Amino acid sequence: MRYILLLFFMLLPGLCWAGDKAEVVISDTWIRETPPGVSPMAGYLELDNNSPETIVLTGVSSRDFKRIELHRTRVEGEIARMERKESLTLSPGQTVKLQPGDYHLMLFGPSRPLRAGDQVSLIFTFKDHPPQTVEAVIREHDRGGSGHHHHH
Amino acid sequence: MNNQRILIIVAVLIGVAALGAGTGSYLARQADREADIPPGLMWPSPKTFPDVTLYDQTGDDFTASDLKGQWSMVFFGFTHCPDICPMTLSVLDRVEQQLADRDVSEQALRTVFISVDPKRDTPDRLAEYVTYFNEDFIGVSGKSEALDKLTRSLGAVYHIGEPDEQGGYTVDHSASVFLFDPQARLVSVFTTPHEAADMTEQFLAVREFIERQD
Repeated sequence: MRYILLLFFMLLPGLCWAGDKAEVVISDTWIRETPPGVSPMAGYLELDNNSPETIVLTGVSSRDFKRIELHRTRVEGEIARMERKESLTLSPGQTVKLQPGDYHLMLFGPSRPLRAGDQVSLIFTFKDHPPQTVEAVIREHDRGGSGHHHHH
Repeated sequence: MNNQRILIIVAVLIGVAALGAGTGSYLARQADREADIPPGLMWPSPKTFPDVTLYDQTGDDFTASDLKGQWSMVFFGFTHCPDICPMTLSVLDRVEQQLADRDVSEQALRTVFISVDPKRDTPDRLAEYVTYFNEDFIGVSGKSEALDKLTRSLGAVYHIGEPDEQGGYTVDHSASVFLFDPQARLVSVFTTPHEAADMTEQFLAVREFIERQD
């Protein structure tokens, strides 16, 4: 009986964690490969707020980058501008896509050369909610997925 | 008398019908001609690439004469631009791929990336950057005065932002792609969003139109 109780308390944090995690689901996280030595890199993902409350993404960090910022590209009157965002608010049930030409992560100063296929861990921090660690994969520039380079 | 009147009426009717048919076919021809004009065409009186001296990724001079003899897609940006510049250059790479798939000669169109951030975009950096997307892409930049004159004369814009705490800065720039014909004339502008299939069609339509004019 004592062992069963011990087992229960060992599992308890895991159960709670799983419950929290379901509130915001982070998926399809990828970072665009850049030419050697080019920084910043851009990262993309989808955020799904499955909870009945508003959740605020307050920052992203990684031990593989010096600094990560949240930005949005706006094209107005055929002029492309970048706006820095301090946070991203997800209303209940809302899905926000960070995608090319829109919201994206700016990842400065990679600690090592990152090539297509490499993976890095990103830590997403939220206001009043536990942080989440997500694996992001580095992908080639051609988002079509063919990975086809044509060289003449 | 009656017969004569009928004859006159018949003649008038035939005349009206002929006039109607003539007008109809004229209008049809006019409509055809208008339908032939591709979208985004800057015609007549296109602007010409101005008399400025820039540099390319090998450090050589780049002037209007380098645009002559070939069609060119020109895009303004900067290499520290992580989102829209790689996105557009990838699309331009796919346009070249689609032209190749349609047996349009590889020499038919080239892509020129003009950096409006000369402080950071040296020839070496440009070389590394553009060839990553396509080995045949050309990277160009130049002194601020030359870039100012160039963008102003083409109706393009750029604005270098204030540096942040880390000394980094971003640059606002035109998102359109500018198409130059083999006489270095700006004959078409591709507006956002850029889709490879649409751009390929627009390029082929504009090229056909311009080749019919000259």
